Amino acid sequence: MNDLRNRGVRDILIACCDGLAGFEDAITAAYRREHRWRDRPVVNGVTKIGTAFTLWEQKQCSGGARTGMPFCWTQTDEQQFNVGTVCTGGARTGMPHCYPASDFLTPDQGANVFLTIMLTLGSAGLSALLGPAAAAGGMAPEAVTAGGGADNVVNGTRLAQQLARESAQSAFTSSGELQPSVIAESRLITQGAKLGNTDLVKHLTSDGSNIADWGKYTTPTFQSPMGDFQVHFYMNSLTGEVDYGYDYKFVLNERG
Amino acid sequence: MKVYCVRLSGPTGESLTDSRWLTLGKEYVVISINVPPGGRQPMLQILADDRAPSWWPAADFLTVSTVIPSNWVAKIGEDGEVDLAPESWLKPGFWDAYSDRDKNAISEFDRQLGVMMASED
Repeated sequence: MNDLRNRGVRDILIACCDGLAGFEDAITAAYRREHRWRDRPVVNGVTKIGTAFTLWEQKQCSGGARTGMPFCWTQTDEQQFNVGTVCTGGARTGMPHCYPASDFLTPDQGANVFLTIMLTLGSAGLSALLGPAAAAGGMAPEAVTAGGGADNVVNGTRLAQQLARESAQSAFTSSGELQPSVIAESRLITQGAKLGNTDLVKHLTSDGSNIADWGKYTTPTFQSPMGDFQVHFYMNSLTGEVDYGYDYKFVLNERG
Repeated sequence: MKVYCVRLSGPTGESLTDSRWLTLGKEYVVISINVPPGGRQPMLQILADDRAPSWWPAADFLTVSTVIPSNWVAKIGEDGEVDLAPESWLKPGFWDAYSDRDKNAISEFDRQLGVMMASED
């Protein structure tokens, strides 16, 4: 986290992880904020985060322990974060919680937002996350061409981030599935008969198909602000069916 | 064992004119062979242009070197499936772990690959 900070990441919007020990402390230490954490599974976390992106802005919290905070949300719906219009509970005494806006950056500050998503990619996919962020990212073309000297360095960074977002988005449809052209350029990395996860095998063959016709595939590498990544997915090579319901994820490429 | 590429196929078997993983006419090291049951086509696991392992139809290649690596074993599985590969690679879950960047799996992959490359020298 310190390395990220030294490289210019001003703050973290959302860190979504799978219970990685010490991660919360590491972020708090690096950014010296009292970040609040939701103790909840991250399955489909990206989907929820993507929804939250579109809903956070300009919502008012009308009550509760943190009255006056610019926004809050509730967690009454397991499928998404609902931005709260009423905040009746204490900040730590049950839902809904309020969060100080100063702890977060909104998408229109996107140039300085760093998103780390580990392991689980919800079915709505990365585009649900990157789409709103990029769309509201405030990185207009004139921002890239204006200025001189140090400004050009900053703008160059922004341009690189913009291009990386566009590269990442190009892999996905608006619903988070893989573009057909991306699937066509993918390759088989594990044969279905060699998959070790019995639950996965049951899932893939629940329609009566043969596991030997399935396989684990990887896409080509795409760039993103988080680093280069590939998407792993399961596909039936006989029918061309792609399964987005199980272990559909993106994997950051190794660095260095 | 080495082969060279004579045909390019997509993930669902369609013919391609070019590929970002393989190059027509180029030699590749075969790191394992699988003959699936049920009349499915034999598959070769090779190191593609990016040096990462992946599976391709054997019909897309012709043999350059017939040397069988010393660390391969032959295994007959369910329904007559045949595998020629390092034994550790045939353990259930090995490739799941490898694709998830498990350090132990990567280390074992590299170790066995080293043996194979030595066989080709």
